[in-house]
Amino acid sequence: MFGLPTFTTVVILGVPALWVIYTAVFMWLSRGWKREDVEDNR
Amino acid sequence: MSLEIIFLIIYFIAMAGIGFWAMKKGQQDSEGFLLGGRSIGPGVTALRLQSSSMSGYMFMGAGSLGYTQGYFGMWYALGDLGGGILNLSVLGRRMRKLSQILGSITSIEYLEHRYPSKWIRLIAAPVALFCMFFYVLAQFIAGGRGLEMVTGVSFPVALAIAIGVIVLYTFLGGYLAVAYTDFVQAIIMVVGMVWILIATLIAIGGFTKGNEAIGAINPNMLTMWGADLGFQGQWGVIIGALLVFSIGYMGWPHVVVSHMAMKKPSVARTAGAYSLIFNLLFIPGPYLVGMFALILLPNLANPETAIFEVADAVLPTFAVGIVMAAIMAAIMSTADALLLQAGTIASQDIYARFINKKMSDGQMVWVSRITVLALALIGFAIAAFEPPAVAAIVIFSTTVLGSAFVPAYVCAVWWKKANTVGAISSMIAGTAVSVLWQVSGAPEATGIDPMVTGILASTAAMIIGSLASQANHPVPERIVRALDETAKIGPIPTKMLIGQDALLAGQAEMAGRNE
Repeated sequence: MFGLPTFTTVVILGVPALWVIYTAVFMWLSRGWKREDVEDNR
Repeated sequence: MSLEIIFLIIYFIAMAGIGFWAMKKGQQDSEGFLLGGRSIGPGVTALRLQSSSMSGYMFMGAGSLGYTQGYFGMWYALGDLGGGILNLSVLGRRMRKLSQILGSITSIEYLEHRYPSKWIRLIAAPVALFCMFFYVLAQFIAGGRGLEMVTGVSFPVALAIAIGVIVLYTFLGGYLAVAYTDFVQAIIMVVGMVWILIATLIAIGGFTKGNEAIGAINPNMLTMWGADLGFQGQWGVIIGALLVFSIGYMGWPHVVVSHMAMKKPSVARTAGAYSLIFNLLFIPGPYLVGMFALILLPNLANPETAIFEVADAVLPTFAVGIVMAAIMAAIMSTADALLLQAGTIASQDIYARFINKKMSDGQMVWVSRITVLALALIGFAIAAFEPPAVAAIVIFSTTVLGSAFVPAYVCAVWWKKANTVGAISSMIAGTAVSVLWQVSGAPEATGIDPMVTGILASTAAMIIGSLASQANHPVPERIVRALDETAKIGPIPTKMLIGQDALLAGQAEMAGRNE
C-alpha cells in the first residue's frame, strides 16, 4: 500500500492508531473528572 | 525588501504585541508571573505544551533524518505523536492538584516540596540548567540557519539577529505571555507545516508516487531500518527513539510546568485530546517533507536545510514567508519556554533558595534576566564559531532531561513510597548513566540508546532507593495526606492548602528547620 513495504505501512498506520485508542480510553476513564468542575464552579 | 522578510517582520511584531497584551493582562505577583495565575484553559495548555516541546529540531533535525535515513526517522515521530496525551493523562491532573496543595510555583521547587530536602533542588537545578542550555543552543542555531536562508546574510549575523529577537521577546517575561504566544505559534506551525506538506506532495505527484521515486533512489529508505539497513534488529535504538519524545516529555521541567499552570485539574482531559489532534496534523510532516526532498533536491550540501530549501522550491513567494514564520514559531516557542524556565531556576530555585532568601520580586526578575543574557552570550559564542548539529544536541539534552526526571515526576504523584532518597538516587543515576553511555560510545557498541539505559537506571534507583530507606526516611505525613487528596476527584479542601492548615504549615516549617 502507498508504494511502501508491508511492515512500514503497518507500523506507520498502526502506532498512530494505538495512540488514538489510548486517547479514547483515557477520555472514557476520565469522564468523571467533570464532577470536579461542577463542584469548583459551585 | 523581499516578501519573506516582510512576513517575518510582521510575525515578530505580532508576537511582541501578544506578549505585551498578555503581560498587561497577567497578575504581577510571583504565581502570576511564573504560572500565569493558574488560569490557563485546555486549548492554550495543549498547544503551549506541544509548541514548547516541538522545537527547531522539527524543521531541521527531523527533516535531516528523513533526508538521510528515510522512514527510519518515523520511529521518533511515532513516539512523539503520543507524547502530549501521555504527559497530560499520567501527570496533568495530579500534578496540578499536588503543586497547589504544596504551594509550589516552579517545577523544580515542586520536586523539593514533594521530596523534602534541599539536595533535591541542589541536584535538579544544575542538571536542568545544563540540559536546557544545550537545548536552547540548538534553537539559536536553528533560528540563525533559518534567517541565513531567508535574508542571505552570513550565519554569524543571522545568528545574532535570531538570538537578539528571542532574548528581547523573552524579556517581555512571564508565563502568561509565553503561553499565549506559544498558542498562536502552534497554530502558525500547523498551518505552515500542512501547507508545505501538501505543496510537496503535489510537486512529487502524490504520496504513492513519491514513495516509488524514493524506492528508485534507494529502496532501503522505504524500510524502517535506515538507508543502509543499519538499524535492522537494533531494537535498543528503536525503543530509545520511541521513548525519547513520548515518555521523555514527562521529565522536561519547562514542559511539565504547563500542568501546574492549568486553570483546573480537569483541564488535562480536554487538553489531552487537543494535543493528539495537533500532533497528528503536525508531526509526520517534517519527516516526510525531509524525505521527499531527496526527489526534489537530491544534492543538498546540508540535509538540515532540507525543509527550508523545499519550501523555497515548491511554494509561492508569499507562502514561503508564512512557512518561514512557522519555522521561527517552532524555534521561538521552545526557546522562550526554555529561557523563562532557565531564568526561573537561576532566580527562584538557586538564588532565592540558597543565596538571598529575602529577595524581592524585582531582584528575582533581574537575576532571571541576567541568566537569560548570560545563556544567550555563551550560546552565541559556541554557535558562531563551531555550530554543532541541531538534531544531535536536541536528542542528547532531551535524553538526559528525560532520564533524570521522568521517574521523579511520575512517582511524585503515583507512588506514596517514593521518598527523598529514591528521588535523589534516581536523578543522579539517570543523569550519570545517560551521559556516560553517550560519551563512551556505548550506543554504537551495544546498539542500545542512552534513553533506554538512562530511564532504566533512574527507575531502578528510585525503586531501590525508596524501598531501602523507608525506615530511616519515611514520606512525611503531610505529603501522604496531600497525595491521598490528589488521588481523589474533587476540589481541594481549603484546609489542605499550605499556610491555611495549621498542621500542614507547622510540619512544613519543621521540615524546613530540619534541613
